[in-house]
Amino acid sequence: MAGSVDEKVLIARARAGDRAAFDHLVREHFPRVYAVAFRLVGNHEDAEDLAQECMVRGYLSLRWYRGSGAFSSWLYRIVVHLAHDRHRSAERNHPMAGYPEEPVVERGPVHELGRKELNLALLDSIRKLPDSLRTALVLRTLEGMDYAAIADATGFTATTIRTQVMKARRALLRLMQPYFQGSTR
Amino acid sequence: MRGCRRIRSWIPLAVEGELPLDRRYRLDEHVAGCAECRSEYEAAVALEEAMQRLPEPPVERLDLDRIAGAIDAAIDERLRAGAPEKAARRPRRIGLRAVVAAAAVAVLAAGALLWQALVDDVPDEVATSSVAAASGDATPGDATIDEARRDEVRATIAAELLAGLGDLPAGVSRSEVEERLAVFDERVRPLARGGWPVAHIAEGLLASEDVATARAAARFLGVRGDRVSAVALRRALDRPELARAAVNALGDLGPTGVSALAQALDQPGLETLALDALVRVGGPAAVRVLEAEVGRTGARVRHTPDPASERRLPMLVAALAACGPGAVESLLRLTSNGNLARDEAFGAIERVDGGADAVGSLVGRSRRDLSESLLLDAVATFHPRSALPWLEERCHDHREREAALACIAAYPDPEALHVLLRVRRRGSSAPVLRAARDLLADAPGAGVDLALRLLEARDEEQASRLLDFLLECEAPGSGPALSRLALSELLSPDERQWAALAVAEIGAPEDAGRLAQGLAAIGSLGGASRKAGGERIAAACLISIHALAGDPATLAALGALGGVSAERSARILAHLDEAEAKGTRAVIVYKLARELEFFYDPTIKKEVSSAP
Repeated sequence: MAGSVDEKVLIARARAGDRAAFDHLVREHFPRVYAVAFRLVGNHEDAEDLAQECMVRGYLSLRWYRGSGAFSSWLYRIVVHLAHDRHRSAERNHPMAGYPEEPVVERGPVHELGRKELNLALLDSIRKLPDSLRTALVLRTLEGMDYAAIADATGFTATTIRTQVMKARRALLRLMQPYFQGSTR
Repeated sequence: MRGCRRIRSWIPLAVEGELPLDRRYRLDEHVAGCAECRSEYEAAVALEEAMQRLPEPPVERLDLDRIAGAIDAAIDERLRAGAPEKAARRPRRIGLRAVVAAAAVAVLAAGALLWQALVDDVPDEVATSSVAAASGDATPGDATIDEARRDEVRATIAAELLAGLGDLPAGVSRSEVEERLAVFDERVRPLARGGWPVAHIAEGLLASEDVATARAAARFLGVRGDRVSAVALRRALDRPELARAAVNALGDLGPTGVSALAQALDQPGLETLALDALVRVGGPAAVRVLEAEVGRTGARVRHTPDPASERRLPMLVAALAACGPGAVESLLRLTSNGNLARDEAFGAIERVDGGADAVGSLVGRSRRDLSESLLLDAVATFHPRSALPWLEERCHDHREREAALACIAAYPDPEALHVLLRVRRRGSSAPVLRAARDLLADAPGAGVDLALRLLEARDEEQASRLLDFLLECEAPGSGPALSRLALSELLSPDERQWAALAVAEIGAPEDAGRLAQGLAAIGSLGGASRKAGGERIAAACLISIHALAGDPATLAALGALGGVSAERSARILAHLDEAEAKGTRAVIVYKLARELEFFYDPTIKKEVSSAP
C-alpha cells in the first residue's frame, strides 16, 4: 500500500533534494526501522548504526523508490539486507562468534531458568536461524507485522512468509527443546 | 491417536491466535487426551510466551535530533564522494553483448529524462520539479525557487487561515471547522493546483511568531493534517502559548496524533486536555498509549507511591475505560501484570459500554499476556454469554472443571443452565448439580426462562432432560419451571405427572396458583386427554396445590373446572388430607384421577352434562 498523499509529496520533495522533507521522513520512520534492526542484530549500537545506514542509503536511492508499496516497507527491505550483510560478514570473520554450540546455561524446565538466561538462550537460537527464516519470524512475532507487510519488506510472497514463519518456529522449537521439555502453561 | 497430524498443523495458528473457534475447541479437546500433541502444543505456547517476553528495542534511547544530524552529515559526505551516481547505476547483467549494452545505454539516457515523470502516484507538478528546475521554471518543488514567491504564498495561506479559522472559539465542533475550511479550500485552490503543499506550509506556520496564525494553522492541521503534521504539532507542544491548540489539533487528527498526545500527558497543565483528546480519538492507538501510561503510573504507585501518581492513576483509568470495549483487554492486562488492582480494573470495565461482551471476546483465544485465572475471574464477574462455550469446554477438563462450574453458576442466564444440562449429560454429577442449585438460587428465573424457551421451540428431548435435571437438582427455585413443564403437552403424561408432584416438594405458594390456572388447560387436550392421562396430571397438580396453598386454593381450582359437585369436592379434599397424612401419593393420584375422570374423559363428561 502506498503512503499518504503528504508522504508522497515529502518523498517527491526529498527526491528533488529537499533535505528538510527527508528530515521529516527520518523522524517518522527511524524508530521502527531501528526496532527492526535491533530485532535482527540484537544490540542497540549495531541497530542504530544499521538504521542510520539504512536512512542514508534510502536517501541516496530514493529515485529507485517507485511508490507502489509503503515507504516504510521499502526502508525495512533496505535494513533487512544490511542486517543480512552484517550477519554474513560476522560469520565470515568470526564463524562461531556469539553462537556457542551449547547454551551457556544449565538446561532445564523454563520455570527453573532465570528470565534473563532464557532470553539469552532464545536470542542465541534466533540468531542461529537462516537469514530468511529469522527475518520472517522477527518481523512477524516480535514486530507484529502482518504477512502482507512482511512480504513487501522482504520481496517474498505472503504465502512464502507464512511458511517461513512456520518453519522458523519449528526450527526454534528444536533448538530450544531442552528448555521447554516438561514445561507447562 | 487419530487426527494428530491435522491437529499439529493447527498449532502454529493457535499460537498466533488465528485458529477459528471451532477448531480451537477441537484442538483443546484433542490435546487434553493426547500426551504427545499436548507436549508439542505446550512447548509451542511456552516458546511464544518466551518470545513475547523478550526485551523491547530500547527506542527511548534514541536521540532523534542527534541521529537526524548524523544522517544529514553522512549524506553530505557520500554526496561529496559522488555517491548518487553510484547509487543510481542500474545493476549490470553479466555477459551482455557490447551492442546490447550500447543500446541499453541509449535507452537509459532517454529513460533518465522521463524518469521523474514515471514516478507513481506523485503529483505531476512535484514529480517533475527537477525537469522544471533545469528549464528555469520556478515551481514549488524547485530547490532554487524564488524565496520571495515562497514567502508570498506563505503569507497568503497564513492570512486565509487567520481569516477562516482565527475567530473560532476553542471547543467548537469538528464539523464547524470543516465548514470554514470549505471556504478556505476554495480560496487557496489556485495555490494547491500550482503544486504548493498547503499542509506542509501550514506546518511551517506553527512556528509563526503570531500566535493567532499559529493556532489557526494548528486547527487546520488537526482536520487536514497527516502523520507529518503530527510531528509538527508535537513540536508545537513546546510553545506554551500554542500547546493547548496543538493538543486539540492532535485530538482532531485521530490515531496519527496519539503518540504526540502521549508526550502531552507528561506536560504540566496539559494532562487533562490530552486525556480528553485521547478519549476523543479512541480506538486501539489511544488505548495503547493509555495502557502504557496506566502501567507506568500504576507501577510508581505500587513501588514508590507519591500523591501525584495516586491522584493521576484514577484519571488515567477512567480515560482508558472511556475509550470503549477495546480498553477491556488493556485493563485486564494491566491487572495481570500487577500494575492495576483487580477491583479498579473491574470497576472500570463495568463502566465500559459493551464491557462484558469485550471480556467474552477475549476467551478461547491464545492469550499470552493475560492470566487464565484473571480471565476466569472476569468472566465470572461480567457473565458474557459468548464465554459460555469456552466454559463448557473447560468443564470437560478435570483440572479446570471446578473453576468453570463455579463461574457458570454465577451466570444469571438461562443459557448457563442449559450448559450445565449438557455438561450433566456428559457424565459429571455432584459438582454440576451443586452449580445448578447455586445458579437457580441466585437467578430463580433462569429455570423457567429455559423451560419456556425449550417448550416454545418444541424441543421435546431437551425439555424432557431439563425436567430430569431439575428433579435431580431439587433446587428450591425450580418450582416455576416444573409447573410450566407439568402443564405442557410436549412431555409425556408420566413426566408431566412427576413434574406436577415435584412442585409440592420444591415449589412455592405462587406455583400453586400457576398450576390451578392450568388445570382447565389440561382438559383442553380434548379427546386425547384420557389417553394422554390428563386426569392423572390434574390429580398431581391438585396434590401440589393443596400442599402449597391449602383447602381454599384447592376448592377454588376445582370450582374453576366447573361441574364439580360439593360431594365430589369434599371427597377430593379428604383424599388430599389422607395423602398428606399417610404420604401415599401414588395411591392418591389414582383415587383423585378417578374423581376427575368426569372432567377429562369426554364420554363421562357427556353423561354428567346430560344428567338432570
